[in-house]
Amino acid sequence: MTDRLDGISVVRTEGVGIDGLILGKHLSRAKFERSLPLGPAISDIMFLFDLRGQPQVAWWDDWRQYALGDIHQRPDLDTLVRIGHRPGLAACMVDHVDVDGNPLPVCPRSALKRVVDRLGSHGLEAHTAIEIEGMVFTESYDEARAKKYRELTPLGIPQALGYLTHDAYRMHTFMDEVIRRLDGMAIAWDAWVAEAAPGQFELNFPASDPVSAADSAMRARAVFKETAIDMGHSVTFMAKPTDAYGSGAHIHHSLTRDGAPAFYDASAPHGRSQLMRHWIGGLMATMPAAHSFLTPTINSYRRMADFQAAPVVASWAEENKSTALRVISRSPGLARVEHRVGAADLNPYLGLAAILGGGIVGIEQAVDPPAEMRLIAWGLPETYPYLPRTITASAEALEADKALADVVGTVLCSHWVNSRRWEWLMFHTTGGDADASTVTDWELHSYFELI
Amino acid sequence: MTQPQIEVTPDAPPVVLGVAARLKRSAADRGLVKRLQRMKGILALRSSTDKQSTTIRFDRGRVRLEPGVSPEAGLVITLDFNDDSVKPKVRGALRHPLLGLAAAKVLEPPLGSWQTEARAFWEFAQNAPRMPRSLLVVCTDDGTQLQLGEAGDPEYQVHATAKALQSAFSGSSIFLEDVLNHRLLVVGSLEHASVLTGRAIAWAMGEGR
Repeated sequence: MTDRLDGISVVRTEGVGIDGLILGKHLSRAKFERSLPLGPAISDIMFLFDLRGQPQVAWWDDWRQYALGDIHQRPDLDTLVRIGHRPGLAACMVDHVDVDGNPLPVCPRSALKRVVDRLGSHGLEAHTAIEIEGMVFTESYDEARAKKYRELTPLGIPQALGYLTHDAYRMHTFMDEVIRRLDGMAIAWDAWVAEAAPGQFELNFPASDPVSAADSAMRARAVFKETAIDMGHSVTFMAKPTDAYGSGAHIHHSLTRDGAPAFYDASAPHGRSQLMRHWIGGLMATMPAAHSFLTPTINSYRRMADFQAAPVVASWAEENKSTALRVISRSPGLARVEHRVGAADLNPYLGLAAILGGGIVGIEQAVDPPAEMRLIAWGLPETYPYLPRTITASAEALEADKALADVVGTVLCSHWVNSRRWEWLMFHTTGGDADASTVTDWELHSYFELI
Repeated sequence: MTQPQIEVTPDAPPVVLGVAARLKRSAADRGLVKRLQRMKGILALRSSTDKQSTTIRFDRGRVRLEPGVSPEAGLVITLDFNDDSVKPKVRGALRHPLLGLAAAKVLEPPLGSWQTEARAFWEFAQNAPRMPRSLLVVCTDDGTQLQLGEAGDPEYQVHATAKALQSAFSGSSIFLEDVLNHRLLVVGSLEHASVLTGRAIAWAMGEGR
């Protein structure tokens, strides 16, 4: 421990709240060390505020104290890293625990750990990778705010074309700095591309255990935002900040048992093991409920439009990027599921917990998947199983899905459902325009800088 | 004559639910129910302060509410949903005077005394998880008290004028907002304030009616 803190004078704790924001303290090295193992105290009010700083005072969870009290940010010392571009600063991911050290049921990171443990009880290990997408604009956050986040200048070409290295070159000064900082924090990455929407980028990570994958996604999003601040730009991970293609968070995952691929069976039809079939069955059965975690904001739902790259119906198929689940099962090394529903603004811990939780439901209840959708899954008649189209419809689906709640956590799910209904109430009663067909001022004001 | 039916579109926004709740109250009022059964026409309510709006289709006892201002609405009333003292602006009143007159009545059903409203709210909310076991309501106009729930030391107290109590318990205002604006003075925990607020919002949006 002492070695790892050589040359470090400040440690930043990094805890993730329900809305996927990083919250923490900057501690002197001495205070950080003294606070172990429980970690520094913070007010539990951080789990009361919404994204506008409005207290969500409309329900009460069992874990709360009668008034306002402290909780702790228990450092996960395996995640202690030096911030290479800020000498003397280190950062450490934390779990939120009560004063006795018990994980808070609404702590997203702890919830994901519970789900991973449940998967482990079946002898299975998950390997996951989140693709993060966002948009970068040449204006600083102050300038963007002054323009009410509209008519911003994308850092890149104005055409909606993906993979163009010419477009990537336009953003390379910014991206090079992002990559330098990720490397300096030892955050492994695989690739980045200039994505289809103007100013849109995508960053890919190598597969890792789910908690590490979520940690990397959270930290990378913070690096993007901090780099934007330092370079006079602005970045947002809103799902649909402009009229261009939205930003998603596709989640690739596979399972192993004793180190061997569990999704593949050479003797099974299409190479899909029985476990994989049940896993897909569970993902499909719980998809409307999981949708609430995967599309968490009012803005998330604007991304879900036909022919706009995001899936709109509960569906799966082999190598099909229009379906909700793109299944790849042609070889043991590649066998995986790409879950394409997630919006860029999701909380990575909760998104992963919902997906893995759905798969666990599938294997525990031996759920057979519906028929594969071997067609383009857009522009379909209403007889097809469309995913919930609003934040309240998704919340209702989650509230009704007791099986998924059992795996993800009933207290967490109840809190989440209430918080999504609160978001809906705030949108409608504090200036949101329900009739708007494109992003509203309310969404831009609520989400652009924070998400 | 059959009881009026108040219907809302699926996944209706708060303003639709809130107006529907008012109409349900009117449907339960002996003096207004006949008026509701006779009404025919389409009117819209639009907020003067934000983007909220709803269209109400009256069809002789069947009332359907939907979000937005329909172009079919013959009467459009622009009003401040949170402040009754602001005079609404009405478009189409000359062409639809009877609809306008009747709508003014059924959209503003009479409230009961603060005690009646408090009892009705308590009846609705008392069994919700983490509600206080007992509630003492004190009218600061004359010192009148009403204890709801279990006898003995009240677990939560609300002190206010009769008008503020009537407004809070009828769902005409938001409980916590009233507390923060000192229209209600309260004694108790944040837990109970929170749960009371949640139940009051649900009550205002027609749950339990």
